[in-house]
Amino acid sequence: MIQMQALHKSYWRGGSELPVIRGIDLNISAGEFVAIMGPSGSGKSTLMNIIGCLDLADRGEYRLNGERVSGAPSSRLAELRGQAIGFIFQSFNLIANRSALENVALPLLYQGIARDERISLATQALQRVAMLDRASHQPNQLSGGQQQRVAIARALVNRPSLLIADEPTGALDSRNGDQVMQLFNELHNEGHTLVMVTHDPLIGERADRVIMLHDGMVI
Amino acid sequence: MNRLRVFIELTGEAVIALWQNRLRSLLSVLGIAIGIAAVMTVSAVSSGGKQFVLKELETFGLRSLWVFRDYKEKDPQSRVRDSSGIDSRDLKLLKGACCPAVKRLSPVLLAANRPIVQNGNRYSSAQLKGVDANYTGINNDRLTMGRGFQPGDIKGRRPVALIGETVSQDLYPQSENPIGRDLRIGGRRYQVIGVLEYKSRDLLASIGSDGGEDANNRILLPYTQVQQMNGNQQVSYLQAEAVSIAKAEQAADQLRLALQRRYRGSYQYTKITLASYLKTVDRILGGITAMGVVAASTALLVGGIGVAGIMSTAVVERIREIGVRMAIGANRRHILFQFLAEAVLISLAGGMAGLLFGLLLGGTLDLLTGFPLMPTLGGVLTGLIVSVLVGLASGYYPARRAADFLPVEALRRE
Repeated sequence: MIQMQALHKSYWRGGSELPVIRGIDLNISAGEFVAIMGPSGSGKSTLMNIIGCLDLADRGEYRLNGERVSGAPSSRLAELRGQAIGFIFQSFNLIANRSALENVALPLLYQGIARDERISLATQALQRVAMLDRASHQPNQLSGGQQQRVAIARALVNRPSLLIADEPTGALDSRNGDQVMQLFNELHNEGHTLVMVTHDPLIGERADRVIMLHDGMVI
Repeated sequence: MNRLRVFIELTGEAVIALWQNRLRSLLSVLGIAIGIAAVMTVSAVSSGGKQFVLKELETFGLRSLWVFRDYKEKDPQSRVRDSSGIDSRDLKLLKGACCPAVKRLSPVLLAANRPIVQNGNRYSSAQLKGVDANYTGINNDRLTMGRGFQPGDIKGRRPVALIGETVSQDLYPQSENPIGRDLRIGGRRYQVIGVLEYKSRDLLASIGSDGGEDANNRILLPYTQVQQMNGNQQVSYLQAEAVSIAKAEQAADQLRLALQRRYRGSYQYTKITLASYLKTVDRILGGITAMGVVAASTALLVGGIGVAGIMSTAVVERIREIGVRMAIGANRRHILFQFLAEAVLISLAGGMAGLLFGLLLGGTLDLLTGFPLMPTLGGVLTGLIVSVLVGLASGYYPARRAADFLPVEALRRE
């Protein structure tokens, strides 16, 4: 599903080049549950952003489902994010003042799906994460764990081929974190492909495969 | 179809965002509303003012023109000079082929002396005018009762009179119908056959532009009668109606040239056309309107800057939301459209509120002052289009900024 070859990415700070990804080769197959780990500054967030089509590599090749992502126009990247990828963030990133149901339905709006179908699909997704009883609650009326489950429903609603999670338990206590990880394991068992960034070894353990990054390279 | 639906739904998203910041949205709506109301009031005042002046000018007939001898001319041949330069025997010629731009024409004679006008012991200070049967039509005079002059009244030199409102009140008790009654002018008896409708020239009189005559204190007589009073065949001046307002100058020149040819240059003639007054009115009101529009546009500009400021603030506050929307599939056009829609909606709402406000204001002024303030349909449409344009102009830069964020950058902001 994911094929990367000789991927490079640098940032420019005050006129000097700061290499972040320094030649990564990586393959992830459909159905895998992969954890990307490494100390801060190792480039794992940047790698995740590139996998998630939020950012582009400078050099090297990245193919998602066989499609060459490197060099695609920004409108195509937006399409891929909307159709093939579901994002889960450390800080949930739900839109304030909008109900859980509206938040979950929002990705479908950008795909031009009619309102009735949006509500029905969002309801299904909320049911999947056992949050249907909170559908009309706003984010500030939900606990962190609940918010993250709503965010997972939002990531699932477009039936993406790839779920990407950035420190999904980083803002949660261990009990809620466990619940989220439990959910990830279930989604994995249902056949979803998951890529998760974490620095917590206990969380990383629950994945099939751990990719360790150090100074922008896989070790 | 699906693409169109996205943009329709994004307009809904814009409405929700505006509703969630109601107070702020309302204030920016108000800014635009004041600007639009100001622009609209200016245009209503200018069109109302024009109507107002036009209504008074209509009492002369908008296609009217006057031709009379120019008494300032030099006299190269030392001819007899104490003539008006127009004779009733010229009329046949002037009504003929010489002057195709003239639709109809009437001689006007002023009485050489000022005879006493009376009915028993009631007196009138009316001005006497001798005219023919065309005159009331040219001069836009209507009758409240009775009949106008017939050609037979003129040819037969019948002792009949048309009187103005003031004359009617001065000479006859209110209970009495003046039609068929007598009045005496310089001892001669005339029969009243019609009463002229009241004419308002208050504005013109107040700026001294009523030609020095009180339109309601007039007595019209067959010009043949006045010639008999004066003891000669002269005509004081000609009043004519051109075939159109645009042809008024041409018509007046045709009459002048025909007279100059007939008298072989013995007299010079001059003209006045109402059309030239119309132009002057347009020029003055145009100048006032232009100044008003500049002032009102400044108010609108300030409103637009307000919208731009509010939208810039909204973009900064919502960077993270923008990032999230991008992460779940929004492209740059979607983001641009949503913020632009917010600005245009604010502005359009302001436009509509401004129009409503302007209508109320105009209506109130109309009731209070009687000054007609009528916004035109064109003015209303222009107001709405302008408010949409203001929204696009003031929203474009902030929306563009929002759309140009890289998704990773937007998500990183707190």
